[in-house]
Amino acid sequence: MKRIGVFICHCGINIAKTVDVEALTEEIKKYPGVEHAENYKYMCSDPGQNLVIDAIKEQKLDAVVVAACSPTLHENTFRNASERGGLNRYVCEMANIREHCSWVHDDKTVATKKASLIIKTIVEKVKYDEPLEPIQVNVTKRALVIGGGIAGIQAALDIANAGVETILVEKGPSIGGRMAQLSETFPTLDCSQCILTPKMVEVSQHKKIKLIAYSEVEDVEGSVGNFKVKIKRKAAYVDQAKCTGCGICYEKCPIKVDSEFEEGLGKRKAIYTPFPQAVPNKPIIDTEHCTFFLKPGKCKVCQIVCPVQAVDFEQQDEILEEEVGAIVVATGYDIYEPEKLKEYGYGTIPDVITSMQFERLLSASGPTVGDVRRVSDGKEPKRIVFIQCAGSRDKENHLEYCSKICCMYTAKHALLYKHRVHDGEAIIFYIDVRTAGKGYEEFYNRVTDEGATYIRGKVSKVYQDNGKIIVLGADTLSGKQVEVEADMVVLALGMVPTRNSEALVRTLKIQCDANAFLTEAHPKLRPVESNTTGIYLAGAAQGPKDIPEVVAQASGAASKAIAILTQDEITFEPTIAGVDEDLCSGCGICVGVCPYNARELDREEMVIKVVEALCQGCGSCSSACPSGAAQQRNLIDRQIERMVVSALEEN
Amino acid sequence: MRIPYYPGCTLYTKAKPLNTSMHACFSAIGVELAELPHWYCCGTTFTLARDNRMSLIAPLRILAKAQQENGKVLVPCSICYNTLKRANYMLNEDTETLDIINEHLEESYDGNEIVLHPLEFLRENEELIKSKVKKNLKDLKVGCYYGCLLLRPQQEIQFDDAESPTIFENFVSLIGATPIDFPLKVECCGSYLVVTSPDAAIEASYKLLRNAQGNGVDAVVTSCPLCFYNLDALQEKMKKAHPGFKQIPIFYFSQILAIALGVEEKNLGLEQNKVSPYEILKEYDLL
Amino acid sequence: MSEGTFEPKIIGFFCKWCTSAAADLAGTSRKKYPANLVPIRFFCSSRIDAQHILHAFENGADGVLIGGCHFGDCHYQDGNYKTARRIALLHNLLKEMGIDKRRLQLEWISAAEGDKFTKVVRKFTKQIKELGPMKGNGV
Repeated sequence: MKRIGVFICHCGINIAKTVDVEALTEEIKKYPGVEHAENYKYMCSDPGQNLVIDAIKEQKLDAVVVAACSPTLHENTFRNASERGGLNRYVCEMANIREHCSWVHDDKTVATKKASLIIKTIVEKVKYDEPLEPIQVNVTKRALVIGGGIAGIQAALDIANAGVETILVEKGPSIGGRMAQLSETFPTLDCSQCILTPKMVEVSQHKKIKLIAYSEVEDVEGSVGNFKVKIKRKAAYVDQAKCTGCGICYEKCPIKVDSEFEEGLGKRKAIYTPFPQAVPNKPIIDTEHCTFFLKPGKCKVCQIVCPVQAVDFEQQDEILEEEVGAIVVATGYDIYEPEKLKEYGYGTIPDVITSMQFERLLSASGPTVGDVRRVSDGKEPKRIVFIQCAGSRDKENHLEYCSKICCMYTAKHALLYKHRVHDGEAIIFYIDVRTAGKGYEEFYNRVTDEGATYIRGKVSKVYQDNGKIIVLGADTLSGKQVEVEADMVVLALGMVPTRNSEALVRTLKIQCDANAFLTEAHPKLRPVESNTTGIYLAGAAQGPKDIPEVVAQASGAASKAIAILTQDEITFEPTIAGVDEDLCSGCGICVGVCPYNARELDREEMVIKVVEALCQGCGSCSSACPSGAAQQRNLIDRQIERMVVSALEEN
Repeated sequence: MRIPYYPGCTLYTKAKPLNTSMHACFSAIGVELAELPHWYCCGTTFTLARDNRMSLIAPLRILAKAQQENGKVLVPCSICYNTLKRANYMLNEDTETLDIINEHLEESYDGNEIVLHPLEFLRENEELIKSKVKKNLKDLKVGCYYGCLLLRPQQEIQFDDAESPTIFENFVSLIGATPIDFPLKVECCGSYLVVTSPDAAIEASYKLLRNAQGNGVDAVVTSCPLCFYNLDALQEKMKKAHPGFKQIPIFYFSQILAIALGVEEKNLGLEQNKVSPYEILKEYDLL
Repeated sequence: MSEGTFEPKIIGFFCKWCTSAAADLAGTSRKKYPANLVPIRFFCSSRIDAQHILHAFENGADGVLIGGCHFGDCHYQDGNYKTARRIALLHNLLKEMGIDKRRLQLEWISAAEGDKFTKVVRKFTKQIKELGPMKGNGV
């Protein structure tokens, strides 16, 4: 029989407060197979780990159980320690007596009993654990970055600059994302396009970057080191190789459409590039509005005027297949739908606009060339009311969370407005002003110094009375109701993950939270990794953040990808499902249930063969196998049965 | 059809016209309002403090009583409706409290009662109402005033969208009148301030009515006895404070429904309306 | 265990990605729940075989709670669909065996739903307490 050592952690008082660790150690010592049991204040500390290492050597242990926190946190720590003690890492297991026991129970007797049961199940497990060797796989040294906003651009540049070939996929016609739409950036008031466009150009000219715009990732197979990706390149109806970007096609196109880039405040043509500095600077045709597609065969002006015959109405969607070793997801954000805030009249009152629309009004490249003008009559607004937290921090009706950037961009809006309209009045309704960040509080002070009026309270209603916009709100500092007449109202809307990105999340098999933001592997210690090895997260797709944070996170994600992509081989967990060829009858049931095509029927020998690199170790085959031939390594039926029996043991 | 009916205290005192016209119009559409036997005070909204189980006892007993009838109870008073519906929601969310109160009472309540406002009943029975309409109210421009208690808190009441409700307008269209939207239709009428700071209530109600008039409303319709009182009975005082103010008739929804259904004038309860509704009704040939 | 109060024995079979992570989150948030359930961690709920569940009942479990990821969220694409089918079949079988099917419950609890985990365990424990001990029910 194996000689098993059990190490019980106090976790300071986190465990010891509700679990009687001394009594527990005595109890576990008596359990069959346990050769050695001890407890220590912090098992994960160096002296704690040394206890494990020394005991393995001195007591000649064959297996180790560490009863402490969740294996998600420290399984690696103790497996490494076991290796240092001379054991195979897969005969070391953790019993979670913190998250699953001491933190969720109050009664010491009850918690101690449950902790002993949890430990005993794991002792039973290690009794049957076998030493395993990690599976080695070759790495495809290419990266895929999904999303061409500032996060994707930064990640792609960083990976490419490390010498790794990078594919950047952008679903729109140009990279640049939301940042390209912004006017000036807080707190320094750099022009957003001025700092962004050089990076966009760098992407287009980088030898190691392959930019695939107007395309979407359709399917992802495989795992870290070897992903197979299908990318749909949508038909642009313009031959990207022939087109020189001269622009005569969109000059001559007779169809005008509301521009998405201008947030509906400006027009574009049916053949268009979203903005003049677009990268790639090649137009696409919007088939929903193009006359040729609405009345087949008509118009064709663009085709006629194109000097290089690049317009091709016959073009089809195309599927590109690429192989990559790691993926960075940077799918960005949208703003919260203003239509949902019925009390603020967006959509019925023309001069109630969104924060993103106001960015376009302030932008030197925007529809008014930077002049602040009313949408309704083109007049200069003399009083603007800014409503912060429009739809944010409102658990009952809208978004529960704080989008973090709105306080700062509203302060910026107020300041830029005052710079454009000197006698203009900026009134800001707020719940709290949150200005955590380098230079942010100073910026906010500057805005109030320059005369913006802050009113602490929410706006209950915006409506029109005799053509005037009336804003009803509360001033919670004076305890009075406030009624303000405004020429324009700007809604500071929160961030939501890019709409329709759920399908991509499913394809990638990564997780998202209740608000659809991508879930990181650990909120503090692994903030740029997804739960799937080899897939990394960057930018607002993971949670609301401002530009400096996005750039930092993108570089972090890039360095994680680089760490894998600069290796020749990576290793996989060997806890996959094998086949006992003596028991296997070749029925093939497991072939059908395997989600990864990791199991193949060898028709000559009539047994199943496993493709180890594809198996992810879910164990579906093990429970489907009628003969018990398919067994998940170190989680075989016998182990589960023994664990169940020990969990039900009477004390 | 027979439906259990909980009038609440106000419908026997200040809001008699609501009671009279409720009976009149429901009888006209063939629905018998079966008043709950031995009903008592709903406890009113003040008692819905979350940390006090005592306050849920009165609503629970009423709900238990109603449950013995047929699983639904019709409650026209906005305050009673709000109290009973929220209490019902709380008891369903917190079954522990439900169990504890049940243990101490003779009655037993399982949480399955449906609290229904007449407007919800009318929404569910549109075809029936349509078939019974006798008088065309087509040109009467009606402003629908919701007040707060019918709509909020939205998650618990689930009556309609709290910011932009339409159930009232749909009802008004159903009986052939023209609903006129006015932005302040969900703002506060001043409520109980009429007792402690009457000027505040007068101002609040004045603002609503002026906003309605500015949008071309001939008459305002409401369902809450307290809103009705503030909008109707305070108009004399509004006139004193704002000499230019022109009075505007206020109706209970059940009164205009009864008119559309051709109910006799004596059963409409109009004589208690402080602002005379007769001129406008004559003008539109509705009497 | 004091005399007269029945403390049921419950086994929890949880997938590591969602429900076990939800249990971790419940712990991190210090949400209290009864201690009757002993969790056993799988990679995926689809690894759980009917025989493991029956084995638990046979060896004295009063209830078995299975936890997996929501549909569409399975870390292994569609393991939870397999689990759903398996548990539905097993519920029919339990009836034949004279075991109240309320003793076996399947729940989808995502890694973000620590609160839900707590609620489910509380409710399930209460339910099993009401159903009483398994012994004598003739497995």
